[in-house]
Amino acid sequence: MNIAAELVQLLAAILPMAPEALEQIESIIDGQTKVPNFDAAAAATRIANAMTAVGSIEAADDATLAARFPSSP
Amino acid sequence: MSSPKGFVRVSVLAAIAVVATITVVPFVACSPGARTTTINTTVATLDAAQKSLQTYVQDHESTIVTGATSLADGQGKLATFRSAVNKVELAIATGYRAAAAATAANDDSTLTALSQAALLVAGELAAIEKGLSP
Repeated sequence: MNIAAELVQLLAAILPMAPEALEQIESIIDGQTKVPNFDAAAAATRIANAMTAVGSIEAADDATLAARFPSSP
Repeated sequence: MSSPKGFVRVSVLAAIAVVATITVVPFVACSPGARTTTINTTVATLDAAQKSLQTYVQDHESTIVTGATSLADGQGKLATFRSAVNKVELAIATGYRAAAAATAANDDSTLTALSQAALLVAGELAAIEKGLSP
């Protein structure tokens, strides 16, 4: 049983919003993509980007909520 | 565009994908090439889970804001939701750090730690789904 292939099939079925991620995973498993070593700096960058993205969403929603109730203290 | 419930489903299924990644580890941990593939696949899966989480946060917060009956009501519901999201974010961050450690140190313990971190992500995503289900 090719577990890696099954993983790709599973991802294909459940992550329709992220085809680029899927392609990346497939190419990694196939050995077509040589991914640079995932070091501490790469981890820190991903974590920071994720926090920034969610933070931006939250800030926008805070502003929208406040705009909905302008007379509230 | 999917419904809010659809995004919940995607988040949880992303968690399953992480679990699926964990199942790869015992089978491929025996060779350096397979080890690298395992780490890279787990990182890519964490990336996918992170993207799904962001989409879910955007959609669910929009639903909270739209349905809020007052500023205090909305703020309270957002705070509760964000507390749950923060746990998932921390779990994903732990996963990324574990991947970096597994890359730097070529031993079994770091790969085991990576699988445990991925399991943590899966658990937190499952928890957020459970807490938000009707």
